[in-house]
Amino acid sequence: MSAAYAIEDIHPLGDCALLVSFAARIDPDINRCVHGLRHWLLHNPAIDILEAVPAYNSLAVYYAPAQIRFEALAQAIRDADFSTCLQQMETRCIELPVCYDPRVAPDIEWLAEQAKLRVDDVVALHSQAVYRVYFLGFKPGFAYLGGLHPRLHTPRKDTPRLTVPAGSVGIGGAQTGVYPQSTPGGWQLIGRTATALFSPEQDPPCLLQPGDQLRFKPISLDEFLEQGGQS
Amino acid sequence: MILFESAGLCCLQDLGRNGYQHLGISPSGAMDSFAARVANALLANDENQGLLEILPSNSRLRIERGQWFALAGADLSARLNGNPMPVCQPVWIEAGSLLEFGRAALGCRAYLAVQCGFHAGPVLGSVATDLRAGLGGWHGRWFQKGDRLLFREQPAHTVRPIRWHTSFANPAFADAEPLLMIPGTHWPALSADQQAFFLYQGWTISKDADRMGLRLQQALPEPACTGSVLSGPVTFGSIQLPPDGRPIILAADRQTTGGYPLLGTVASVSHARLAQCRPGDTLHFSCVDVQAAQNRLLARDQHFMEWRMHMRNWWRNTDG
Repeated sequence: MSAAYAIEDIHPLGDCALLVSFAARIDPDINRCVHGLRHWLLHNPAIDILEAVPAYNSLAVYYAPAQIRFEALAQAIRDADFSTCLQQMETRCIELPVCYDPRVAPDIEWLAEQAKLRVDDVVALHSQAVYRVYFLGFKPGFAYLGGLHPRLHTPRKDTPRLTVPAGSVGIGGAQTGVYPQSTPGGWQLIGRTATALFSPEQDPPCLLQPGDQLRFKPISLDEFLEQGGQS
Repeated sequence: MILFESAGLCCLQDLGRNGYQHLGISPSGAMDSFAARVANALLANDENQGLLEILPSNSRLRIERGQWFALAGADLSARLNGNPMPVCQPVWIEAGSLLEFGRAALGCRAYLAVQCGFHAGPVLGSVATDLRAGLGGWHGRWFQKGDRLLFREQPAHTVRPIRWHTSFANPAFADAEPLLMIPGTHWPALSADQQAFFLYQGWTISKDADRMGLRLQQALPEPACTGSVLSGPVTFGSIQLPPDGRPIILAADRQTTGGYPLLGTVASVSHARLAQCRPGDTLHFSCVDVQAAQNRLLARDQHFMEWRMHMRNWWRNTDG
């Protein structure tokens, strides 16, 4: 695969970061370019940056103006040939065991009814897809995933729950995701994983990395409990 | 060690948990990072040493072991055993002393550093408290009454009366200069009238102002013209424009990405003034290009590093 998309804009993000933008769409190929450029920057010893933070179609590059100034860094990025990075980048595929049993998935029956599907079909549609981790944000370890089947698109709850348990798998609109920590939340909850997505005592502290592929593997309630899950 | 007899609003911070934003982990860290650096430099500490960030809230701290301290940032009417506690200079505090904070006379965030730092285990390389994620600092939360925070080391310097003559007021928030703003990706999408309104309007800090961000009270007229945007990375000082037109300036505990149009980002040299804003304060913005903002930042840091060197020599001579 080649660098299919050109950089559209490089703009200051304050005086210690800049924002590189590609075409403004949610698109796996555009997102691959974001990660390709990030990979190129992080592995280029000639360019002194602090960190590079990806989103759908943009990358924030943090730097110290005492090391490199805006114009010099912007020029280096404009001149970057990161097409080899796109070829070399390894895509990790992570499999996450998820229990879809209604006893830990309080909204799955309601969601199935809304979608005019059987619960088993919801599980099949959700677990057969391969999801792309576009980027992480919102909370530590929270992945913005792409690839949810259109039949499963479901509005958020009118009134958010005050507490969603850590490991809950939810659907909100066209998005699906996993809550790494217990938090208030408005997504429809269709499953739960016992696998920790955020462990601050480990490095890296998050199971998912930007650019990963993710599959959900259905497990029974017994397996979920064996893996340390709590119903 | 310090015993919190009454905790008020007080948390442990350093210069932030940097390098993990790509995992959705906010850097957190001192809101007024310049004042934090000043407080540590006054004690010849590493500038990233953990220290207390204190808001106006009647914090009462019992100092249970003698040590050198330094206070910088806001003037919160601090009193040491009933007498005014000197700001921006090293102070030896005897065991058993009571350090109290009260009304905000200037600014709203004071920084209390101790020589050699506090005893706290870093999480992902930092002792900064991320209150939103419950991460780092003191069990990921504000201090509470009865908490006991230890010092890392015994006093490293002899106790003696000091002759203090270096003045280093924190100039960054005492002046009335507008906040310098580097225009962002959506600034050009504003009409000329909207840009003029944004720059000539006095903006009031609303009650929704905390470590995550500061919401402004007034609204930009007809904000919807900028349309919706894909979530993108944001940083300290980024000014977001939600559909209701009331700008939000993001701060230390922000999310790493945001989905609102970005008007601009407050320049680093104006961060201290921003961090010291209280609800009800009035702000003005002024545009600056990135080169000019970086020139000012580098000049300030050059000045600061010279002063820090001067402080280190002062400590060396104090002991000698």
